[in-house]
Amino acid sequence: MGKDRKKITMFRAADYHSALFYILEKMGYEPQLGVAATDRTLSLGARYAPETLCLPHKYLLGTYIEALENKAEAIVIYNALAPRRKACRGGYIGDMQRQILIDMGYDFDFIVFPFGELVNIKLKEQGYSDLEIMEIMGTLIKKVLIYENIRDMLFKYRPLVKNMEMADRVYSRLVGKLEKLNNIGELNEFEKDIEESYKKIPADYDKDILKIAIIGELGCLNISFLSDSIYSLLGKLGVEITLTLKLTSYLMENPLIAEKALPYIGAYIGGDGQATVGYMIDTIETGHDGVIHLMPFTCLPETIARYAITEVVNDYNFPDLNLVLDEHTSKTGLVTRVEAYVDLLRARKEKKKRMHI
Amino acid sequence: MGIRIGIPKSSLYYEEFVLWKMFFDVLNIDLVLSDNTNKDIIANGLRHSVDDMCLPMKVYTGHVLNLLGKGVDYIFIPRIVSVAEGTYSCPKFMGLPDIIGNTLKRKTKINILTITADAHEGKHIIWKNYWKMGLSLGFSNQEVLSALRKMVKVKKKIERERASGIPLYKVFADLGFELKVPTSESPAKLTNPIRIGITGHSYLLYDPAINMDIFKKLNKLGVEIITQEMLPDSAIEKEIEGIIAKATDKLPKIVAWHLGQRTLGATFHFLADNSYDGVIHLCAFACGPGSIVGKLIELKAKRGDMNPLLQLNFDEHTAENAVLTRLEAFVDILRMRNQRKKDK
Repeated sequence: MGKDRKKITMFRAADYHSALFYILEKMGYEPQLGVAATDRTLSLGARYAPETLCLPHKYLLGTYIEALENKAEAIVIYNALAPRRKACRGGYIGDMQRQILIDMGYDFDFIVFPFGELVNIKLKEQGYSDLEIMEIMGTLIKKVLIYENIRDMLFKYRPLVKNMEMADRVYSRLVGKLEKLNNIGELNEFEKDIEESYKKIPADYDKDILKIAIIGELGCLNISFLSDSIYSLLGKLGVEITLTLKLTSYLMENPLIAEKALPYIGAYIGGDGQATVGYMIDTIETGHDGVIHLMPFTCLPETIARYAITEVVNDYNFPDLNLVLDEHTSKTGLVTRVEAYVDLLRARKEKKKRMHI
Repeated sequence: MGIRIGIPKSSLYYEEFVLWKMFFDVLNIDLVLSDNTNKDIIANGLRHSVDDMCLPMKVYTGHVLNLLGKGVDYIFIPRIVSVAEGTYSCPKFMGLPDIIGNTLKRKTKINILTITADAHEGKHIIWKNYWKMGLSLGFSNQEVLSALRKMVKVKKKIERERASGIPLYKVFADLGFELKVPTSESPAKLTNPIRIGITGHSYLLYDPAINMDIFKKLNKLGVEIITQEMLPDSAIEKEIEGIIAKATDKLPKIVAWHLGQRTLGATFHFLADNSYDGVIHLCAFACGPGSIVGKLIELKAKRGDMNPLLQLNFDEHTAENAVLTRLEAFVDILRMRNQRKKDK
């Protein structure tokens, strides 16, 4: 195994790095986390990207630039790899961003996320046998699933606990711990512990909470800088949220979800458009009070999904809130709209209850 | 009583109508075209569309509404996923029947006749889909097959002619479909002629209502115009091969949209060829492929000794006078540049 590991900077997407650093290390890299995103990150991305590029890719370009400013030798670039995803901008975005960075005068090495075939090649280079590779992949999947569980639990307990900051602190502690665990046995032990850790926080379990599902584009849903303010606001307002699209559901698409969307979106239309509609119907069927659709401005598949969602709203008589995000989106504007929507859902729930009595 | 099928004169109409016409003509189907894009069509389209949609798609909705007013049995809205292996259409073409269905099914009595064309499934599947569509319209197996044969024959002819270097607009003209390319009437008469290459998706280039009649405006300024459809395919393909050769192995080497590829190749050709004085790239605001293709063009134009480039974005708020001002300024600059070259 090579001693001189190459340093590689990974962009921030929620806290998935707690799981993904494991595979990068096994692949022979020394992974580093990019600096926390600020407004500067986004304005850098927006300045160098084309005007109407979708927000997550502007954000990512900003993080690449900041990583290279901090003298990163190599960076992880996002580019969708599945052939049919090429229809949407995500299928070519990486190469355009690479060309922009070269045009800015940076000289760098990179690898592409999702890693795809590269994992196998690199692991073999590191001298792992086929059996060991399978074990490594198993551990990776376990870590990703555990991370998603930690986050889901946070969303579940945020509205219940008396002090939301305590839930956030538990979350950070668990993520920090997960990052260090690389043994499947320890991970299994750790997994049992997750919900218990949240349960220790003083909480009011009889509280009447609302359930809202978040549907939409992968990046908007999973990049904390873009959506976490909305999630924590919902927590404060006493709303439990279900995140529909996560890394696992993106990499391993659920055919049942696409099937649900068929009456409205008759075929795969690139990106997450069909899944968005499928998850909306799934959300309604699994008993939620509302649904928030997060999409980047000018996102192609999500724009088509908008047409379908209008129809779903009519057919199922189910209220939705559509939030279109771009670099000009005002935080205050979002807060007002989310608060109004939650109020509306509360009133609707009350009314339903009264009618049943 | 024949069946009346409406075809919106927008979107992929400019690319694929020749083939559709062959198919429907053999079946003796009455084809009804929507009017040329006009203010009413645009206004109706805007009213029924999601705000973020690009203008050409909003206009498409307007064309469908226009057809509904003409009393047709069906409106033909194909789902074009890909026309050649390895390429894709824009997601908006992939979801076109869904867009129109979700918008208009509740409000109007629309009958959408659709077909899925995905080259990755293999050519025979596309023909099979046409065959099924023909049967569903109530024609006999024999009739549909003869229509299909004609269509395949024409498609092969188009491919053959394009490969032999005949520009697309001439191929279409031979088949009776007029792509309204600019006629540079008598460039010799002009005292100080300028030669400009224009690129962009066909539904922008050849729809004067969307692009503010850019050909006429440029003609008045004494410009000889060459559009990307007037180039032989080989010139475009050469540029595309050049792009692929220079790309990195780790990432997809070229944009997958077939319209985007053609625009990219043609623009690169116009940029590098000295016989042109300048290049204009048209793009619709909120066009996904356009945003990326436009940036790649911009990056290319910055490198090395390239012809000057003007990029114009169009949406429903585009002002005619603003477009004219920019064209005048661009042409003035090109004239000055030529003069300076001559002086040297």
